[in-house]
Amino acid sequence: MVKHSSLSLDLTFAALADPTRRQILESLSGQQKRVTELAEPFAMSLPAVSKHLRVLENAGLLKRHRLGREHFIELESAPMKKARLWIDQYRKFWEGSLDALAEYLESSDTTKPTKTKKKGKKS
Amino acid sequence: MSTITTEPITLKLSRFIKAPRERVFAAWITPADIVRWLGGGECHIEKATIDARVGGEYLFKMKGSDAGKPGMTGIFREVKPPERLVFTWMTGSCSVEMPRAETLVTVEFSVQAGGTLVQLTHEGFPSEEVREQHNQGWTASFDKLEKLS
Repeated sequence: MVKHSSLSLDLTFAALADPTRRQILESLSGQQKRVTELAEPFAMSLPAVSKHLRVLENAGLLKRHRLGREHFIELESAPMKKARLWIDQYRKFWEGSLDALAEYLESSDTTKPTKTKKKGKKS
Repeated sequence: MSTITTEPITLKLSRFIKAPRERVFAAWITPADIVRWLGGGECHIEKATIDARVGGEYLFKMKGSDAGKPGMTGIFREVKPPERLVFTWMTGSCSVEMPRAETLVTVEFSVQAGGTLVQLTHEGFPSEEVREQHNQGWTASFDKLEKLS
């Protein structure tokens, strides 16, 4: 289970690492589109756009359905929700840590690390 | 709810700290400091090893019931005392529920009246530029990413 979800988060991140793919996702916001419609705004060939669509599909970010001979592409929101959950968890983590950092540095002597444990010299 | 923006998984935070910039910067790369403030919740650091130079590694070991967890580890991409730190961050080190994925943290330190402003950016996916840097030097963990694109 954990393995699966970690794989999919990696896939989500990797899929989102490309600006064209992010644009594709944005253009699908709230609506489904034909592949040809999706490709229109991009200065690239249809096969190149299809390649991006496959990456997004593999990451589970898109759904494809057929209506007669036409393929329609639609957003799949579950992986994005997972990514957002990730952000929420880290927001808590970093907010807590930065608060603790401020408290640590603002209390008492801030010029030297206080309560240094036995110094294990590690570079 | 199928709405998406260009930066859906980038976290930005800032915090003003009443301490000199050099001191605040040092607190990020000094093991004796970091164990005092980083973490919380499910994440308690016992011991830190930090090699704060470009390409250098850090490793934070967990304590108590978290001792068996893999610990937090990553690589410094930029080290510019006392203004800027960039390092990779493997998620899921503390919480088993959190999936593992490599991410990037940028911390900027700027002088402000009476202290230092710390601005933190945690990116769920690396920018094209960073991927380039990875390609040039340190590629191992980005193999996966490369294969996908």
